[in-house]
Amino acid sequence: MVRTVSGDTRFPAAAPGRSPVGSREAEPYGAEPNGAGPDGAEPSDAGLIEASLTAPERFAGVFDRHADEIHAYAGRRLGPEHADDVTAETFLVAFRKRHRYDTSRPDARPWLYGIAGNLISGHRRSEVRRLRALARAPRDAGERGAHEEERGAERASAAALRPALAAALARLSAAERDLLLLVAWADLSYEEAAEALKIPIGTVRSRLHRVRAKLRRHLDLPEENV
Amino acid sequence: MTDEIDLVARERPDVAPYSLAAKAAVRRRLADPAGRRARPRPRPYLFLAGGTALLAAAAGVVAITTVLTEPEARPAKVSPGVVTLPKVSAMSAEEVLGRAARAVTDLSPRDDQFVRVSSQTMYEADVVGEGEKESRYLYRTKRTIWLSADGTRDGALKVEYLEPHAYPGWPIPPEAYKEKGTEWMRLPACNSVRDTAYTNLKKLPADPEKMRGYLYDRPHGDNPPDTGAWTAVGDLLRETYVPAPQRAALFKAAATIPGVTVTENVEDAAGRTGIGVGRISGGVREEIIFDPSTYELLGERGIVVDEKEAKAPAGSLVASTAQLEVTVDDTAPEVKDPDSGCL
Repeated sequence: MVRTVSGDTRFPAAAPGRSPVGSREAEPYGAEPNGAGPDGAEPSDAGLIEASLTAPERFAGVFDRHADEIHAYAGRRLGPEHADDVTAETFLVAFRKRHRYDTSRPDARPWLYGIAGNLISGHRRSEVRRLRALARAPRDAGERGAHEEERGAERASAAALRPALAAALARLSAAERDLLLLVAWADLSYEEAAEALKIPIGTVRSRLHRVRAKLRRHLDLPEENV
Repeated sequence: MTDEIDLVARERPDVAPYSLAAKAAVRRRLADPAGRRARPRPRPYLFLAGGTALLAAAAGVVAITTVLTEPEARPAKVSPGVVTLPKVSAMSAEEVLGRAARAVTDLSPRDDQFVRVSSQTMYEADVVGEGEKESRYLYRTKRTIWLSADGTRDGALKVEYLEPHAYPGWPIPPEAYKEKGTEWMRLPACNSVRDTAYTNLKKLPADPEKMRGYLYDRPHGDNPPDTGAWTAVGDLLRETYVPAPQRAALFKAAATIPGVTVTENVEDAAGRTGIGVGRISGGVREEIIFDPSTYELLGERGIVVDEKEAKAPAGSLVASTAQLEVTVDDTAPEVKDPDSGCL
């Protein structure tokens, strides 16, 4: 059951998720699809987003491209139970904010990871709880070898981390963890991570420097190995 | 040589693949304009960090909430709901808005204070139930909102649901009675200052021509620029306090938007009669109503003038509001609201 509210544009939304601009009519579905390159090449993310301003269904193309990796990232950070929700919310938020997207950036991944990161921050406490729980579960190498099958199942279901690493991650600040995992688990470049987190590139470098030092300490890595 | 970051990267946990069913569900919501905006209740006011301004400034006229399906026996009421069609007055919009511009008084809230606005509203709600059966009604509320003048403090919103009215020619569906009583909501600041926070409004141009530029610069999507500019006028005035110099500029700029005309003897949601200044868009005349003697803002109204375009009988009142009081408070009521939060 869906209720549509027309004309109510007070702040805050009488209901959330308003269409960005007032069109009384349904979305312009007859709109010409556009955003493909001039030669019919695959459109960039920016092209799809721009096209979706007049043909909203085009936004599904952005979802098709990046849903899996956002889902994987959310699952790694929060565990499988939150991955579906965070992914759905990420793309619905992105859809609503799409008219603010800087179309000079062809790749939407940093933007999407930025949105996903904000949503993940909302689960910060449960993320830290989970990391601490993983850190408390000792699993030595011998045990792992003996129960390879069991361990495989566990990894798939709980996105298991080595306890020492889980503990080290739990001890980072939220901002440090956000940055580290965008680089290490989402494969964002420093520039892309800066864009996702809306911080200067210099901050990315200095923060990662700090993260390295902390990890070295918490993981008991020998200094000379670095 | 070990790089700590590579080490973390190598220990990237395995994750289960995104299930096709869950994926298809999201894709459907994105591809379908109704589903896309649906968000399960109760979480009516999820604020996006950095997105608050978007919600506030966006000239959206369509929003959706999901309501539970649970038919309730209620006698269907059909009311004609048609008011007299507006007659365009000989008075010019420029004249009315010019007087409104001269009439402005000023509250000057301090940065740490709150602008409190009480209003009564009526807007159209469309319900699509199972079996694609569509019903319409007009939902009515009394609202009081507290918004931090500089946008840095949490605000509050009190909504009192009033008896729904029939949409002209349609029976009131049972869902219309679901929302009742009084609801309190916390409006978290979320490190993001709304475009319509008093301190931001104060920075808007006090020069009518520059204000006009601002109105035309607001995002208007696929609406024509003049429609977008008129929508931006309403967005600046709704549940806000525009400082006197900016408000004067705003009214003067509004008078220059093509298609803006005046109608007299227009009633607001509180039954007060005023002068309506408005423009037609999508078959609906969207009016801002002013007091006929003081030229203070009374409210807004939307009335169908083109049956075909608006898909509703001509003369139907599809929106009606009244701004009852605008004042300044030192504090906002503290509301315990687990559903509100920042993204």
